[in-house]
Amino acid sequence: MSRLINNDLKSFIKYNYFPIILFFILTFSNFWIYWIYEFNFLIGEILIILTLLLYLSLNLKNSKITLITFSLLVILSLFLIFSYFNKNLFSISQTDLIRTEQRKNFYANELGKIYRNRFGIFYFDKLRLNLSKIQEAFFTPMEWSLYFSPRRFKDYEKFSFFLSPFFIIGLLNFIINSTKKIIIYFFIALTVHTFTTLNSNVSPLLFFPLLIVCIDQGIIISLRRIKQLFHLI
Amino acid sequence: MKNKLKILILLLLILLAVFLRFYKLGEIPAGFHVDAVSQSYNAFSLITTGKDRYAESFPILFRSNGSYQPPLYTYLTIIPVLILGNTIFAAHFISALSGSLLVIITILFSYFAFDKLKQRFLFIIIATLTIAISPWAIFFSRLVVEANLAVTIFAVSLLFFTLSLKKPSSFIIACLFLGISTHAYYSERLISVIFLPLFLLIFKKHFIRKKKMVLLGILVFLIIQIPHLLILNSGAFARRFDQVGYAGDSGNISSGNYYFLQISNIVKSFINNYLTYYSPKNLFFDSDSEIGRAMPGLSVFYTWFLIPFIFGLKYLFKNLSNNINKIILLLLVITPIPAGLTGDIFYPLRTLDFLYVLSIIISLGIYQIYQSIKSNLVKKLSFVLFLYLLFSLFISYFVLFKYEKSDSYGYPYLKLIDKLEGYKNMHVVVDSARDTGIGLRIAYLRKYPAEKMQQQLRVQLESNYYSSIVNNNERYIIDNIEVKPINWGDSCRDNLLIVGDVLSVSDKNEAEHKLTREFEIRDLSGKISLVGYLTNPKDKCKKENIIY
Repeated sequence: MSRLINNDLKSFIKYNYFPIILFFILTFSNFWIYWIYEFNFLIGEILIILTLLLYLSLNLKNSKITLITFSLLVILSLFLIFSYFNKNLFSISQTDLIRTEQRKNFYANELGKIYRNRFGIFYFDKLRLNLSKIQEAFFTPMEWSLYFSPRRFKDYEKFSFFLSPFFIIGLLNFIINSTKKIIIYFFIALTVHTFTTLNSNVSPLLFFPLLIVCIDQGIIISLRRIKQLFHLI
Repeated sequence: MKNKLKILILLLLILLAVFLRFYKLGEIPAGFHVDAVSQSYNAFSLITTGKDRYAESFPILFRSNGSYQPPLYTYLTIIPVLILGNTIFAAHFISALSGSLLVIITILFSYFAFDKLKQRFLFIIIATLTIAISPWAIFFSRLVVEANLAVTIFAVSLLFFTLSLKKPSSFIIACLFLGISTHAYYSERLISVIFLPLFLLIFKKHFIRKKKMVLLGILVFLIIQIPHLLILNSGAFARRFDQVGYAGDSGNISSGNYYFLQISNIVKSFINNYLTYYSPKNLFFDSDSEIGRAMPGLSVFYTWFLIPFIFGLKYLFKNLSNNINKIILLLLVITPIPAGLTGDIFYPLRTLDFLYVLSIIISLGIYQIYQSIKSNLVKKLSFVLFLYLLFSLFISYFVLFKYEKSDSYGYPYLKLIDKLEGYKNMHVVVDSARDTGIGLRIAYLRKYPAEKMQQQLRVQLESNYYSSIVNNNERYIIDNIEVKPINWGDSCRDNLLIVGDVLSVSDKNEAEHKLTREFEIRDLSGKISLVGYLTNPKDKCKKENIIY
């Protein structure tokens, strides 16, 4: 097994100097990874390994590397869920409570018996509120500004602002090609983020590898297009 | 499927769209927004005098407290106000009608543009339904917003641009509608001048032998722009951009005198704002309380639309050789540009064209998913999902939005107008410090003669009509009601009622000026919104002996 991986790796390294250098530059030339190291050195190290594995699993058609990647992802996910579980996810804040109380009158006025029964009250007063909280946590990582906006985190962005177009190009490329590994990784990372709570400088942790591979892919695609354009000229 | 059945299905979908846009239109949103009342009173003024409220004959842009509203909506509102009278329903009518027409245009657009799809009729149903029930489409169709009229006109031009690839003479009609759309809303001004040359560039092979047709189309477009050229240097043309943009804002661009850094910051602000329009969180989850965004609990699209959106994007990029996909992709990139140039972070009102394009992409995604589903049971279950979406829309808009936003839409002032019927023998002062639409609300709903209003407002203009210098403290006198910022000298006036919102009169003011609380007006959520006070000049002003 190790020989198989070695051979694949050797040939990959031999023909992909620039993409590999680019990958390492991207991985270490952002503030986010250092904030993660500051938060927990071990998690930072595991995340670097996970990023490298994800990158390799996308570039090498080697099921062993994919298996190792996702095993490590599952282990890290379980660790995060058990260590940083979001206890507030199902608790109701004072603001929520006031709003729920107020909305009870609105529902009763407009819906009548549809609201004034056991199921109605459960749905409107409890289920809708909890679903909304889960949805909010679920969708939070899907905001570009979380990664590229300089205004929210320590006056600096997690990634340089000018990398954002490359991120979108890379992401679109993965969507167009329905890259299953990325889709599965994405949903695992989203699920873990939904149920964990970390400070905003490092969260959402598991998206770090995803961002790196998307930006990397975006830059490579753009460079290829520019090269093609110059050939045409 | 028989043609009659197809027509019946489409008619039902149109009926659903019309119902969602016109149901209780005069009551929800609860209130009468300042922009809406400005358009409606101008329409009323045009009907009765041929001039707007500042006595300007048929303006190119309506001054309206310095926002310089594009004219088309106001001119079209003349018809419903003339037929239905000075009602809130009449004010909202054109927007609701535009929203309904957009659904019909979508049917035509889907029919002509997607003729290569295997099950074209299925796609037409999906696209029609998506537009008919999308939260953004309903939300903005029920508000008096020029942007909703503009997106409908823009969609018509899009239909003809698509047709022009088969029948080049349609290009002239497409340019005509594109030109008209620039008089409906600001975003279209920029979108049209970016879209038109790029469209010709992408499809140059189609038009290379039809140069006359192209030139004629461009000429039509340019002729329609003449009114804009007439006011290009007046200050009014760019006033709105100055108000909402960040390019000249030294507050945001704080880089001293370094030209490069200033440019860099503008580029950064632009990319940052532009990208917020592609944020799945903003599009599919984030509901917001701001008027320009969405209804409580729902974003501009339903959360579940994210999945078909991804499928639609995938289809779009995989089939880029299709002409229609090229057009959609072009629009996907350029339509958020005007909004990206403004300082507001994610303001959907300015990107309705973009939301329309996204709706088409979502429809393509739903079509792809539906085609890949083999189980009939799952297909039938999608109907349950559709019912659930309608239910969540009803709860968000017709229940929560109605109650929770009644204060923002000026509902308490409507109640005040009724309340003041009982104070006709008194002089009333209403504080206008935080709402510039109070005077016009009263004037429109009471049909206050436009000539009298023009006499009042014309003299208050501090500059010429199209100037960027605007008087923000206009004063209105409508019979016994005076609308102006509170002046405490008035508290020595006898037989006076002062009305203001909860910030107008503090407890300290109340005690100091010996005011007596006469009434309170609550919004629909039960929160106190307006308070009426009677003055006690005998008590307060006897020492000064200045009762008048």
